[in-house]
Amino acid sequence: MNNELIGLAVGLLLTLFVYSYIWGDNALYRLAVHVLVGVSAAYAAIVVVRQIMLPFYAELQADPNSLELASGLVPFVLGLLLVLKRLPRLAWLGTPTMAFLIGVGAAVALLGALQGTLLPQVTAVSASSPLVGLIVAVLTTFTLLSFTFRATPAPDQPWKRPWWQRIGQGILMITFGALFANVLNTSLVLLIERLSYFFSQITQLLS
Amino acid sequence: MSEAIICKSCQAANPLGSKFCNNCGERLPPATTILCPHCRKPNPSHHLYCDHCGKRMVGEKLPDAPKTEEPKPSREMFSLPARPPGMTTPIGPEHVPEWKKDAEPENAAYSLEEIAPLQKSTGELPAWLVENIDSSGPAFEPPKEITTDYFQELLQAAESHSKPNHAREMAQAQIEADLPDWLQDVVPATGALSEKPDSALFFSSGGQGEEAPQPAATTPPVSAPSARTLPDEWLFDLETDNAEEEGSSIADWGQPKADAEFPDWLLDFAGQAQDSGGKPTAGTDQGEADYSGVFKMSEFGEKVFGGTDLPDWLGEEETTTEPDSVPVSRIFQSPEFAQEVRQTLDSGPPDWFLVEDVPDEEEQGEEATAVAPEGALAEDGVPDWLNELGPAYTSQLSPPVLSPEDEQGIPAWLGDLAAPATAVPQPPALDEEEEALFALPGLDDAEMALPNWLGELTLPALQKTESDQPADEVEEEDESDAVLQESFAAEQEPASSDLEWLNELLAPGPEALTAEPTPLPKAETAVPPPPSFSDDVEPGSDWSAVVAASLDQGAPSPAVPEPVAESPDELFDLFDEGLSLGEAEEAEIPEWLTQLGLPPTDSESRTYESDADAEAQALMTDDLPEWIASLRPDLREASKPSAGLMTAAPLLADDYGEMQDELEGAVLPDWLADAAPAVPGARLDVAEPAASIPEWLQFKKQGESESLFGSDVGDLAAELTDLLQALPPAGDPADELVKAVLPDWLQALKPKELSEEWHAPQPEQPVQQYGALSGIRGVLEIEPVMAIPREAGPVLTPFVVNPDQQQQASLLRQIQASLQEQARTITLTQATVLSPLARTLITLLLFITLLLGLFGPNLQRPPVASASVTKAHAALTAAAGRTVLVAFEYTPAMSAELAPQAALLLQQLRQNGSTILSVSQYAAGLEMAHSSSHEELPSLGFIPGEAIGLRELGGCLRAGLACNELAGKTLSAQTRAQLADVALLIVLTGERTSLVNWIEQVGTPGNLTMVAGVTQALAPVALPYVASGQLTGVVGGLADTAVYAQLSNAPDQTAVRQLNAQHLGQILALLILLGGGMVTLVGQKKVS
Repeated sequence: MNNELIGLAVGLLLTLFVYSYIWGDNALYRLAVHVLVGVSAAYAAIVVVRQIMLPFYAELQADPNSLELASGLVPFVLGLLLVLKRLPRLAWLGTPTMAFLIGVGAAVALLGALQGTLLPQVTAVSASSPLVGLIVAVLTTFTLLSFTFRATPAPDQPWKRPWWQRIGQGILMITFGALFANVLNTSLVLLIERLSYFFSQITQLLS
Repeated sequence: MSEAIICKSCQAANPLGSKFCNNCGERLPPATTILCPHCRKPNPSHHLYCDHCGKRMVGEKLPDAPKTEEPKPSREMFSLPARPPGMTTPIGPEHVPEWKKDAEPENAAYSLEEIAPLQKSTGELPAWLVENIDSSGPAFEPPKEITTDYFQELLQAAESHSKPNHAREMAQAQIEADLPDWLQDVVPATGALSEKPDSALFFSSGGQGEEAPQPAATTPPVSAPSARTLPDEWLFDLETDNAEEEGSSIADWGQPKADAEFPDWLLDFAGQAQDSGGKPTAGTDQGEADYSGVFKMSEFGEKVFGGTDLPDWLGEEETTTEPDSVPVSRIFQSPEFAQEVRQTLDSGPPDWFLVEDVPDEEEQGEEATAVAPEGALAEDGVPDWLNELGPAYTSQLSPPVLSPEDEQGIPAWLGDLAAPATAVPQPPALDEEEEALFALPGLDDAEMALPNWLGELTLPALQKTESDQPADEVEEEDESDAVLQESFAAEQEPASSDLEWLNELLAPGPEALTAEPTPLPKAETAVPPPPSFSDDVEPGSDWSAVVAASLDQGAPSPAVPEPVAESPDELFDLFDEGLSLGEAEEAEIPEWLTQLGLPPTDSESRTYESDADAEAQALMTDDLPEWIASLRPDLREASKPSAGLMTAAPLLADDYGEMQDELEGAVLPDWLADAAPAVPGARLDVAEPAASIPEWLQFKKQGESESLFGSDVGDLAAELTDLLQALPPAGDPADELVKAVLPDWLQALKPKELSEEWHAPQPEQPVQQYGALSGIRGVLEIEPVMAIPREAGPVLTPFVVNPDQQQQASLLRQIQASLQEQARTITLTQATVLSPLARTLITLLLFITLLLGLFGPNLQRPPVASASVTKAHAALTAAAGRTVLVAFEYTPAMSAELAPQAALLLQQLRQNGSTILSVSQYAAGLEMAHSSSHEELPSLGFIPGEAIGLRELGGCLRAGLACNELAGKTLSAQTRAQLADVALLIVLTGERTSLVNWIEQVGTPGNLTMVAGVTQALAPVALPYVASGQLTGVVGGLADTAVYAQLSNAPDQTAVRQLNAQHLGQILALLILLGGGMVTLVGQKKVS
């Protein structure tokens, strides 16, 4: 048996293990999940080492006097301090790194959202279909209003969700239904791809 | 002031005491009255004297009520009885101890010493007595008994007899000498008088200190006084003192004033003396008045028994007495003294007071009065206890004989005192030997140091020759002695039994005594003359001769030679010589008498050497009457109930000081000689002290020491001081009480709870059965916090439930129970049992459906390409020949849906000749690119940091060739060129964030053409960006992939078959959902 066949058999078993969740949580499912998570984490670590650490080390050996390389030590040190977050007595040392990451990431994300999503989406409504644009705006407004829970109930009447919130809640439900259908389609695609792969491979093996 | 009460209404006057007006009937105000402090009757307020008793009411001070003196705290230690309760001896005559019987003979009177035995310091004395003591005076040594120094002092005092101060001092000394012991002890403590006043003091006082004493020739012969003649001689001193103040000479001492008032009983005494043949007192012409001039006994008695008046001479003395002398009158005037004497007499008069030898006194007449000072001084030289015993005994020898008239004149109290003496038989007649004994020469003033009664016994031993005495004086003395002897013999006939002890005293050597006095050489027999008090004093008869005559009934007493003394020292020597006796005389002197100051000779010591101790012992123990023996200080102290307390109590410094004062100069008999080593006192001042005389009793000569006791006193004081220092410090009596040992019977009664060994019984504690403390008793259990209410809350009113509420509650419980049962049925039976089978069936059905779609016939028509897919295809086509940056942002989990898109797009890019530059923010992204392209693609590598990394990448894309570094890595020139040539950005991702970040951070800022290949689920997210133009095209899901494959004329139709299977799978899923929904609906209908 060649390596592809072994890989195919292991892949098939692991796939069946994952699908064993049909009968509930079982060891085969857990084994398959753990193998997936472990392999993914290990693969990511290997990728980081190969793609980040080794190239930086190679460059440092090639030109140790480079100031640009020396500046690279700052994120390296910050990265090491971030590891100390696992130690309760030294966790405070990784706090600056965390603050730096969160602060910069939030700022970049916020700026990107404004420049790449909010303004383009607002300005992208074409004049050719104002109704669509109005419907989109109204539905978006009702959706946002559905997340407001401020209300003044009547003295003798039970509290009822306002109508505009109900509209927004309906819009959300339709969106979630569409997403769920897409997830179902994705799942079917994955299963189809796995079945196609296995049948093609098995067919090839048998042929 | 008016005594009427004015009515306020009618202004009428009403007599005192009226309550209502006599005129108008109006109530009258109550009159202010005062009560008479005497009769307690009301009087008008303005009255000074009582209307009823006439005594003054205002300013009158009522006589103070007799104060009951509180017993002062004694230093005697507290002592508990040594016998437990119930074991005490019943009190009764038969249970009285023998010693107590002996100490209390019939008709025996207590002396003041016995009454106040514990008064040893001035702090315990009455104030009236203490304040009369002059503390500034020289140290006083109370006992002046039988010491020659004292006689020398008297001689010296005779030189200054004309000086009132000296006379008063002598009188004062005499007063103190007659005071009881407890009073005498007080005086030395305060140093009122000097024990041995320096001779120079006498001679120098009044500027005549250099004067020598008067020659003996000029000294009138002094007859021996008789202690039986007067109650006490010290009263004579008072009179003489008074006489001195009036300018009389010292010779007038003892001579009463002509106009003095005498008590009746004294007058009676004098009358009896005359009646019995006695003659008036020598030196006076007043006869009976001589005695009355001694003191006014009636007034004294009145004072003592409630009177307030004093004799004039006492009153005068009070006014004329100098401050340094003792105001005697104050003593008698003080009520304390009167009360004290009264108490004493109530309990029995002292022994000395029982002496009322009137007949003898009358016989002696003026001699007794003339020698009153000497007699008093002689008594002062005798130990006090002997001084008390002597008169008592002599009173037996000489009972007073009173006529009925006299008895009527005598106060009752005095008659009671004299009564026992009358019953005493007369002394027996003496034989020749006894007469010889009493006929011994050598009687002089030195014998005056002995009590009168004792002097009688010592007469033979002290008899002197009369060679130096003037003839006239000798004759007078003989005459007077004869009279006294006759009267004594006639009136006193003591029974032989009463004089047995006296005979025994004389028994030791009757044969050694010579019947006739042996004339001694003048130098040897020279006896110090009696103090020449005055030349005017008529020489009296020798009192020893009187006593001898009384014993011998008329035997003439030998003439006493009158020695001549030129100076006190000479007088002292003469006295010593006079005391030298012959062998016969020495043999007759009992040992105890030698201890009293008589110098024993060698022969005497030889005579008594053999049986002296036995005789003395027999004398002092067996032969003495019991009551006399019991009166010895030691026995009396032992017999006193407090004696034990005194001995048990620690002696303090004051006690030792008092002891020293008591021991100084004390002349003690043999039975006290045992204590001599402990108290080495002064030695007798004799020429050759006999061996039988204790060393401590032998006096030093005057020249050997400055004081009577000389350096021995200092030694004694030093010894006592050392002893005191050696003693533990006197602690607090309270502490000593604590340390006192309780008797056993009292210890037995002590409660057990107070004992140290007692422990309170501890209650039985449960044993801990568990935990680390298991097996230990008394472990406190952990208190259940919730079980004990911490605080009491308000009392709630009970909730009343009516029947309707009970019915509603039961119905509610039924509904709740039914709902719970329904829920269990649904969840446990149907959901759990059917699910695995359905799942399995659905799974199998799905597999079959999918397999049919893959390998089965194509049941669908070719899909219609959407606008987004078309634009995507167009964008790829437009980027032909240029660099296309493909971001593989998915993992193997998403590779099944995205991998066909990636493969289809990469195949088109290759077909268009585009350069593919791969990049990914997923670790597995580059591997997905490799698996999708099946070749090694140029890559920017892994770019971490999500939006941040993408923003940097966007900057590099915008910078073009200027970007040298990306994600910490230096970009090569080819890479920088590729970055600068990027015309299309294809993002393959299944995550919304990744898609949005690429759009917001890279596509939109760099205005790049961007195509997204996403999953069918993410397609709805990407489409709005397509609508906004931020995405050129979107290939979403398997359906778009199949369409894109048809557009690009791809040879692989895998995507079409997969799409066919997907459709079948969707149909199956729809069927399952509908089937499941229908089953659920059917099931709900069944339940409902």
